[in-house]
Order: sequence, then structure tokens, then C-alpha cells
Amino acid sequence: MQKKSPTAFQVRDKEVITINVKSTGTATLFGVNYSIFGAGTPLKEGQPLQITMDKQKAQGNSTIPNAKSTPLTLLFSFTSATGGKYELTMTGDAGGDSITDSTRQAGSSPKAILYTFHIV
Amino acid sequence: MLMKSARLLLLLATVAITTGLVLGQSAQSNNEKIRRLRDEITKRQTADVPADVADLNQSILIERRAELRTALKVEVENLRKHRAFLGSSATLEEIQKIEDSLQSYAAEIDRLATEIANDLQTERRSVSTPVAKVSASIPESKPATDNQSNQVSAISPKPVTVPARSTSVAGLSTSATISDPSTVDTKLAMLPAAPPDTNETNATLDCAAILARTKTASELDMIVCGLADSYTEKRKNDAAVRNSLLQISDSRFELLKMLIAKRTTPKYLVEAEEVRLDKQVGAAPANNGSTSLVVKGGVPTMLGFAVENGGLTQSLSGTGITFRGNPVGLFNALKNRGFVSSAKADENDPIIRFLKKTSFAFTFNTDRGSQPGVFTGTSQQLSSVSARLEFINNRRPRLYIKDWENFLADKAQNLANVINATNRVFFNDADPLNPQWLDPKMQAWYQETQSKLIAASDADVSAVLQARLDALPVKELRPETALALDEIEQALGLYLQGRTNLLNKINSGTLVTLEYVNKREVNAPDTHTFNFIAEKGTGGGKIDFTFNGSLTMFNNLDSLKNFIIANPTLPPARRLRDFQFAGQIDVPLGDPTEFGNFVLFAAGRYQRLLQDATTELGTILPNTKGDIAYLQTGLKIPLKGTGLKIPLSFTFANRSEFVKEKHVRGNIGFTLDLDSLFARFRPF
Repeated sequence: MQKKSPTAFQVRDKEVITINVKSTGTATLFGVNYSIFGAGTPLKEGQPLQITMDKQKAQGNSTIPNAKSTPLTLLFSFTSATGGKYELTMTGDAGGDSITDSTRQAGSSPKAILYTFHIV
Repeated sequence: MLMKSARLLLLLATVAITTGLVLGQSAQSNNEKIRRLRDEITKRQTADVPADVADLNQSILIERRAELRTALKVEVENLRKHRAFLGSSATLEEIQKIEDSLQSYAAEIDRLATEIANDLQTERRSVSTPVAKVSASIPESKPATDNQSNQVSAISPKPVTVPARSTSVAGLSTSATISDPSTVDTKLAMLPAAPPDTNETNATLDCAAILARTKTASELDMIVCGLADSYTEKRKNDAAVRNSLLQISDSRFELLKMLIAKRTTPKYLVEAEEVRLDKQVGAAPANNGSTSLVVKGGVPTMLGFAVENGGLTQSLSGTGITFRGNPVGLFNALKNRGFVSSAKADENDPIIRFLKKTSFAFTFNTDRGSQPGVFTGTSQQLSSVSARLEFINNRRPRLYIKDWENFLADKAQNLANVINATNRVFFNDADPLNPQWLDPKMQAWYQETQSKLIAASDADVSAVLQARLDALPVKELRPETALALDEIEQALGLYLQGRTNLLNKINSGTLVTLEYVNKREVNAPDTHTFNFIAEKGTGGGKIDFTFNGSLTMFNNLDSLKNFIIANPTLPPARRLRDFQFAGQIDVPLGDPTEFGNFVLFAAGRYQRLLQDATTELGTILPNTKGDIAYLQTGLKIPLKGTGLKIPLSFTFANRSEFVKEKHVRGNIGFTLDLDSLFARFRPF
């Protein structure tokens, strides 16, 4: 996985992305969902999420030669009134960059992290 | 004496002259700076700049304009101060001259803001547009970030500014070259932060208090503050973020929520939230001065402070000052640990978890002691000490894990899928370095907002975002944008409704606390009270019911010995003094955004006096035992955004402990929950 910008990454077709999410803010029930290629599930606390980047399922255009792009949404929910925070690390099985990111609670509504993957 | 006065006058005169000289020099130096900057800007604007250094000249021009803008704002402030200083002694000519100068500076400041925004747009366009030109404006030794070193893309070429790192990709046009975006970004980061325009600063939010929820705020306010917080933090270390809000991974959904809030103003985004109903800050009812008949189960996390005046259960009035708190919270505060970080760390320690279920309170009666009416904090004024242990708490979210999992699999997953599916309607992500809005109106709004954000200081970012909310083109959106927003709004509404229902279920769980109160009397026997406190919310979570059952015993009857000997006809005194039952209902009222969270409460209490009442003088009032009933209604009035509340209550009783006559009493006080203040100053 190659970081092109803070929100866009270039990956190989069939590359497996592993995402580890931890709740690091004030006590909240763990609530993280992901969505990619039109489907997704809630994440289990302590269990890394693995996603295979499938170029055939990606529908977006890309300025990277021979690449197709697809968004990945991570939705973070909070039961706390304030101070909730999630931190994540993301790596690809083909090596390259390791990504760290975080999102902090601001109100009752959930936060969503959106990444764009350019699959070559 | 005369010599001393003369010396003093001499000293004052010296200080005044020195201060005047310093101020004068400061004003002169700012004027000189303005003159110098104007000259340089004119020179750079009119110069025939060679192509090799044109970009550099343009960037320096932006910096100088921003510096000039800041210097002009300082000058405006100096003029205003001077006008205020002169007051009525200013001549008409002076006032006119100052007004003219202010107008002239204001126009120049506005013009510079426009020029800076235009220049920045030009620079950004030059970054994202393929240009074949090669420039050697930046020394080769300039370091590049890891992130940027990976940005070798033949498809989104940029102007080459670092020859040593310029790379051509085989098979592509010779004009497709790459560059280091840090050249522009670094220069932008060097810009002095220009204060935003005056009309934008009017909408300043107290974001620290809003995010810590110590101030009532709408979801929209919290979104704006959260985004401002994130942007100011992340732009420090990432030039890409500084120049594009969309490069913050969690910004898109926040911007969409802002757009939804302004477009259809759904209640869940624009209305303020309500507060906890279960905290007891003031004294227990038996204390002089208490304004409440019923004791609540919750206590402040750190320390609460209450001053109440009156007397509910006896016909004696007094002023009680109560300090109620939690040993763990107080320890954390003294260690200067943040409100949230301490809460998180404490979750892992079983001893601390237990201690957090305990709390203490000290009440001082200021009518006692050598200086009645003055709070001295001495043991003479200490009228009661109490300790609590919370032993049933069904309001812990961990008990509702299954409900939470169902919610995540249903409402939350639906929202995640909708956000992901509609992303392609809102954003063009083809270029990884330059994400854009697909809706032209939104892209125009975004570009202008971004220009203002770049020019804003950290403190002004939230004000800029707040001001830009009103400029959102909510009525000019493309139909497909509007449809996608509707879809997200519906999914978000269902999500928030589901979350609220679940949290209401949690908050309506049973809370049971045992309290021990040792009431310390001056002449009468001290008492021990064992209080059972139970709370239960309604399903909707809006109304809170509290039940108290208590038993009070005399510590010993020694202090009554002389009185009993002197009055042999009185029935023998027993240790058990009384038992009581009480209930209270709390209902939040009003619009929290306008006035804060008012809470209307109604309470009732039944007390069975098993003994004739004893007075503070250590005497027994004959024929006073019997039944006492109280009815109370009142209002807790918040002072918005301060953590202070004024409890105001009226109590009707068939009699008091001392007087067998109906009466009505009014009580007033104020309470301060220090959790609020602490969270405001050290939220994380």
C-alpha cells in the first residue's frame, strides 16, 4: 500500500488491507462499522478487519494509470457524552506504507472516516 | 513627608514619560513597518520579474500582504485605543481624522484579503495543473517529507521546483513532470495568520466548553467545533491538510452533516441537548439551608459546591455550605490530569473503580461559631459529614451490549453503507492529491472557505467555519446532490433515533445508593442517618424518579441528661429518632439553546417523628412527636455555560418538627458543579 495523500492510497489488485481500531478516549461501547464495495459489517473489538482490494468491484475513476478507485467508509459510534476517540492503524500485505489515523467525538452523531483506494 | 511625596511624584512622572515613549516608539515602528511593506508590495507587483523567480516572487508577495494586513489591524486597534483614551478631550478635527484613517485601513484590509485569496487560488491551481516549466527556486538541500516523496505520479504532474527530485515517467508526455508540493505548502505554512474579517468573528463559539459539553450547544455547533479542532491540530504537521480540508479523513461526513443542518434544519442537528438529572450537589434535607426534600443518587465526578439558605424540616433557618465530591476525581484534579484521560485510565483499576462508587460531603452551618454569618470552615461550623456507596448501578452501558450490537448491525451499518454509496455523488476522487466536490456550487463554496481557513489563525478557524455556514449554497445544489443528501439525512435520523432510544434505556436503569450522614449538633444529641436512595428513569429518558427511605438515630443521649432529670414527667428518650420516605420527579423544561436546562421538580415526603423533637439548645419540646408531611415544588435555574445553578423551591407542610402549624417556606441557593469547570479547562 502506498500513501498518495492523507486520504488516498494506491494498492495492488487482491492486496489484503488490515485495519486495527482501538477506542482510546473516554469509556464508550466499541462501535465501528465498515462499508466497501456495497457491503460491510460491524467490527469486533480487538479483532483486526481484513479487506481484499478487488479491482473488478471498484467502479471509480482514477488518474493513476490502469487503476480503479473505490471508497472505504469507517463509521465510529459513541455511547459517551463526550471525549470518545478511536485510533486506527492500516497496513497492506504487500508492504509499503503503514497508516495511522484517529477521530474524536464531537457531539452525539457518529464520525466517519472516508479513504479512497486506487487499485492498480 | 514632603520629601517622600516629591519622590513619589518624580517616580510617577518618570514611569509615565517612559511608558509614553515606549508606546510612541511602538506605534512609530508599526507605521514604519506598514510603509516598508507597502513599498515592497508595490515594487514586487510592478517589477518585471524573470520567469525563473516568478513563483517565488508571487509567494513572497502573499506573505508580505498577510504581514501588511496584520500590521494594519494593529494600527486600527491603536487608533481605537487612542480615540478612547482622548475621550471627550478629542477635537472634532482629531475625531474626523481618526475616522478617515479607520475607514481607509478597513478598505485596505479587505482589499488585501481578496488579493491574498486570489493569489492562493492561483498558487493552488499551479500545483494541480500540469506545467512543463522547470524552476530552480528552492535549494536542492530542502528536505521533503516521506509522504511527499511517495507522490511520484505521472498522471497528476506538478510544476517542478526541485530539480534533483524531478522525475519523468517512461511512456508519458514529456510535459508530464512532477514536483514537490512542499514548496508552496511550506510557504503557506509560513504565512502569518491574518485575523478573519470582523463580520466573521461575531459568530465565535466557545469550542472548548462546547466539546466538553459544559455548555449547551446544538449538534451543529459541536460538528463545527470538532472540525475546527481537527483542522487546527492536523494542519500543523501536514501541509496537504492545511490547503485542503478534504484531506482530513473524517471531514467529509462532517461537511455533509453541516450541509444537511443548514438545508433542512433537522431537529437532531440544530437543537441543543439536555443535561443529567441525577446529580446531588447540595446538602441532605435534614440540614439547615437545604433546598431539596429528596436526595439524588449521583454525585459530581470531582467536586460540587452548594450554598443554600432556609430550613425545610425544622422551623430554623440557616445557611448551609456543602462540599460534595469523589476522592478519585479530586485526586485526579490535583494531579492535573485531564477530565477525559483520567476517566479512561481509571476504568482499568478495580480499586479505583470501587472508590469511584464512593463519595463524601461536608456541610458547614455559617450561623455557628465565633463569627456568625461568616464561613470560617472551622470544626464549630461543620454541621454534617456524610459518605455514600453506590451499590446498584444499572446505568452502565456495558450491561446493554446486546442492544448495542443489534443497533450497530442495523442502524449504524445502514448509515455506513449509505455514506459509502453516496460518496461518488458528492466527490471526485479520481486525483488522489486533489479531491473535489462534484457539485460546482459546493466546490465554489469549498474553495472560498478553504482560502479563508488558510488565512485564519488557529483561534479563528471555528469562527470562519461558523460564518461560512450561512454561505452554503443549500438552494442551488444539483438535484442528484440533494437526493443523496436526503438519503444520508434519513439514515442519520434513524441512526440517531436508535442511539437515543438505547441511551434512554440505559439512563432509565435503576441506581441504588446507600448514604450515611452524621449530623453534628452544638447542644442537642448528634444523629446518625442511614439513607436508602433509589432512582429510576422513564423509558423515554426524559423524566427521573427518585425514592428515599431513611432512618435516623441519636448518637447518644448524654447531652439531654440534665434536661431529662429536670423534667421527670417527660416520657423516657429512645435512640431511634424518626423514619422517613420521600419521592421526587424531575422534568427538564424549556429550550436549552436559549436559556439553558431548567429542571422543574416536585417532591413529597412523609416523616414519622418517634420522639419529641430536640432543639439545638439541648432541650426536648413536649408533644411534638407525630407525623409530618411535606410537598415541594421548585425550579433549578441554570446560569448558562457556567456550571452554576440556582435551586428555587416552595415547600408546604402540615407542621414542622418544632411547631404544630401549617406553613409555607421558600428556599433559594446556588450550586456549582466543578466537573463542568474542570472539563472546560482540561477536557483531554
